[in-house]
Amino acid sequence: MISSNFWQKRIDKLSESLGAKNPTYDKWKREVLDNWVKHSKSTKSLPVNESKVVYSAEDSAISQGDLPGEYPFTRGIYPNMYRGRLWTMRMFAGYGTPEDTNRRLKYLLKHGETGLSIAFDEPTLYGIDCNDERAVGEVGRCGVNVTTLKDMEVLFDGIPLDSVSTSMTINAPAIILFAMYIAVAKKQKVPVSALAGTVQADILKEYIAQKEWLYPPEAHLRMIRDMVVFSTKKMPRWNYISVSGYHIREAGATAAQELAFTLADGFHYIDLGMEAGLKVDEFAPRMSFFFDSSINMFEEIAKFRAARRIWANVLKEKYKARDPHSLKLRFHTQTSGYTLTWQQPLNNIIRTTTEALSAVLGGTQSLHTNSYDEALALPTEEAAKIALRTQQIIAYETGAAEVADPLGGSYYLENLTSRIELEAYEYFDKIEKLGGMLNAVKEGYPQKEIANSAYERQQRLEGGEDVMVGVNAYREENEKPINILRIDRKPEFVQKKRLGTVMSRRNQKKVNHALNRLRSAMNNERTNLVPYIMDAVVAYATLGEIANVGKEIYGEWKEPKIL
Amino acid sequence: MKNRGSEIADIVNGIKKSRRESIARAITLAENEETLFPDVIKRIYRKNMQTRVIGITGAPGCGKSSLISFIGPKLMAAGHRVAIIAVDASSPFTGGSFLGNRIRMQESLEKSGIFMRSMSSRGSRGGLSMSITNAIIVLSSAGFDRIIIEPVGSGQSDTDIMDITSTIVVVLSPGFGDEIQAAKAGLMELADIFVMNKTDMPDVDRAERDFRYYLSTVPPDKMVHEIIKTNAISGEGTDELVRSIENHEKGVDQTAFYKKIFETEVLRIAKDMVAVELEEIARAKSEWIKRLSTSGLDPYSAADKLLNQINNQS
Amino acid sequence: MENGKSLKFYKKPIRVLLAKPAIDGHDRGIYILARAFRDAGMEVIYPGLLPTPESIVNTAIDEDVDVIAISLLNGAHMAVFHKLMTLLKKRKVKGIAVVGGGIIPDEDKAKLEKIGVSGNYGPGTPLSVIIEHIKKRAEEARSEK
Repeated sequence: MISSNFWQKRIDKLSESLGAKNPTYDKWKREVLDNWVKHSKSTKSLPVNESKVVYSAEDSAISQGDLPGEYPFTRGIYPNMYRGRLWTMRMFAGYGTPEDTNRRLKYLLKHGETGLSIAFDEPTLYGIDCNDERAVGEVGRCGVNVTTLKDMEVLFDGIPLDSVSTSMTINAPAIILFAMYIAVAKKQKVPVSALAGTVQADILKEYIAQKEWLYPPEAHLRMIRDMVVFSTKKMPRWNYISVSGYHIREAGATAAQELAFTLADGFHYIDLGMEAGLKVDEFAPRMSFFFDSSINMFEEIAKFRAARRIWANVLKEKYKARDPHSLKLRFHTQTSGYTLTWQQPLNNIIRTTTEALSAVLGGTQSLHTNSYDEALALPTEEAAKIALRTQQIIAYETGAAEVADPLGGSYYLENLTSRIELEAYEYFDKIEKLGGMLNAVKEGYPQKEIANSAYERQQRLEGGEDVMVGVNAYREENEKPINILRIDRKPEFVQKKRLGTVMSRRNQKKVNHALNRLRSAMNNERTNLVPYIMDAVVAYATLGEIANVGKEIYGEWKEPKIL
Repeated sequence: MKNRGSEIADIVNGIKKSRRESIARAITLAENEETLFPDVIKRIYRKNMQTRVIGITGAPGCGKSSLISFIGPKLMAAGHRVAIIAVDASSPFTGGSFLGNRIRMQESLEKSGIFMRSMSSRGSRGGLSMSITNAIIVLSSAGFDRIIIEPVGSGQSDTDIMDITSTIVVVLSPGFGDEIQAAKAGLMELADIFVMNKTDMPDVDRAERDFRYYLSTVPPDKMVHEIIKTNAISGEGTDELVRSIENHEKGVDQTAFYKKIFETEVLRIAKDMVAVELEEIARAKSEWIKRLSTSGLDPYSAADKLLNQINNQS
Repeated sequence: MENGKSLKFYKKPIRVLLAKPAIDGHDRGIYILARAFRDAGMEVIYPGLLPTPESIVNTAIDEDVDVIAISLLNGAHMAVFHKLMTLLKKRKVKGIAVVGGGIIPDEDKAKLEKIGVSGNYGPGTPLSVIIEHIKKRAEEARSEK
């Protein structure tokens, strides 16, 4: 338990320096700015969120003169950042059948992406089989469908798992797909220790924002613990979790809320690993993060920098981590889906570009750029390619990758970084007073904060204080329709057929045996479930069959009152 | 132009056959105080209905809805026909409301087929309007013999629930300081059964101890009280709770109960309406009242003046 | 007497069932709509995530709503809205209007209107437009009841 002074000390220090007087600015304001404003025009309808017109040296007096690659890593986790290692161009992809997605993955690899990122359909995300009646109309629609190990094998057909790193965006049934990935590797004769990648697995953010859970929190947290322990012992290149802020932001949180709730979740997972008996330096280095990159450039860059600084500070001072790798916050970024518009879709290319640039200037390790048609549907091949090219142009043409933290030292940026850092500490303090993140989630605290922010944003849009070009400004009547990706019902038929074949060929006794053993293992809190789930997966038990074992034991969970 | 007669007949027949659309329609008529409703009531009301009404109250977040999602089906399993009325507060500014009690109960409702109706307080001071009493009558006439009411849960104003329920369960949750709030709000005397929910939280024992202490401050001639510990996530303790409710119900005189509903309800609603109308007058006279408050008069003289004004109005 | 918050104020608010019949947890829009409808004086019934078309229809009947407002973001609107309308017809439900919203391509809107789902508003539609439409459909529904 931290002393309640821990956050308060930081809050006080930051408040003090941010509140310091700025006589230079005050003098300039009196003598130059106010006069100017009196006699000149002011731009109509420019959204203004900052109270100051310009930032100067005194505003960033708090800048710590950091350098990249050393504590507290504000300016980047590697000394030479992208000169040593460019960010991974990792395009989120997945739709239809495993064959469809396999083709798309190969297409993207051919065109230069450097890491895989798999999107699953809703049934898969919810641990529901493709032949379940709730899956009707949803199979393959917003991601690839995976119901058994066979689907996974097809998905990675022709893609050697020791030659790629794979990120799987899966949460509630993450442990099942994790097991499937390992099983595919085994079939490919790739040793488990060579596997590089991540499963998202971050269940806390599900309760907070994305709302795709199966069981009550304790059950999911136990499974995360099992994955942490398993991969810490056997998989040196595997990130067992991707603590996510993206979904929190997309659900309506502000940048500060995204930062605070994500890191608070991260702290909770550190607690989880330590309660499981691991030393912090054993597993903290392999914790990874996933942030949003939204349209306000400087706020986002400040957010990324503050995230690194906070994480390093807390891991060092609170958790007593010693290994520098434990202090380095590594993150993947996705440009914001919410900021894309269905009106005048080509405009989205510009939005994605600035958001990607913000992520690069903010020092991301991995990046997904949205396609321009994603406000309407999953991306077409053409649109996904442009999104990938966006990253390549930024990397190789703009010079943004050449120098580490090129905006470091900017008066505005340093001031903003500290401001958002302060806001985050205030949230951490609040959350601790609520008894920690898990309690806060059960009471609905972050959910309510997010719903309020979302509502306020909607009000500002409708009132015109916030602008979205094409939506509440510069609208066009009679938009020309664009070509979009249409997913038909074919994947449903293909998947059901394949499932039928798998079930008829598998050894039912083996499946039952594995599921029974899994059931007993689940009832023993101290058992690591990964090997038991592997046995079930390898016997070709279905996703639903495995997920249902948990349902029987753990029951379900309903969210608290938010409105 | 709708045919009034046939519409009433449709609804009445539907209620007798326990058709859900008709029951639902009748409740809407009751809520909107439409002119059709008295005709409907006259035709469906029966004496000596064996309905028991169970009120489950407690602070927001204490787990009422989750408990009801267990209790409902268990009462059904014991052979009763169960209905649930969940009340949420109406916004005094817009008149609208967010009726979210189904969130925690939807699955249980689908599985069990229990009828649930979400109602809003619609300006009633006590949080329970006359329409809820009417809804109870509709449901009784349709054959539901156990009706669970989940009121708004703001604590103090839940005392209205006493007038229409045969059994009152007060749910407390350790760690919220509910125990003390309950003591303050007068819920101690109100409750027939106390429930301490979320037994997996570590401080439930301490909370129970504290609570028994407060209980001891209530005079012994006021009934009660067992404290039942429950876990609204696993359902632990809910069998005991149901048994406790059934035991309590055995001690309730049914005919007296219905008599009480009508007598007390009429009086309460009348008083309620008078209070609201007075407030309306005060609002209409707000300028005048403002002058009054700055006039330097003491409160009692000011009140006299206001009353005179009102008497002169009507 | 001026028009104020008498008990009359609370009479006959529009009852709306807000639902997202998909296996999908994204509810940012749902909570914004719920709040906006409530602030417009409506009674909003929200049964939580993952409702099936059957449970939506059952809930709509038991709660005697005027309007069912359904939102879908996953492209499955044709199948789902169709199923909903079929169920409503089968139960011979009168006096409940169905309004749609979400990510719905223009070509599909006409088809949806034909089966009785109106509105079909996409993201960026001002809340006031949606609310006006719901009020209009609620009036129509009530005259059918």
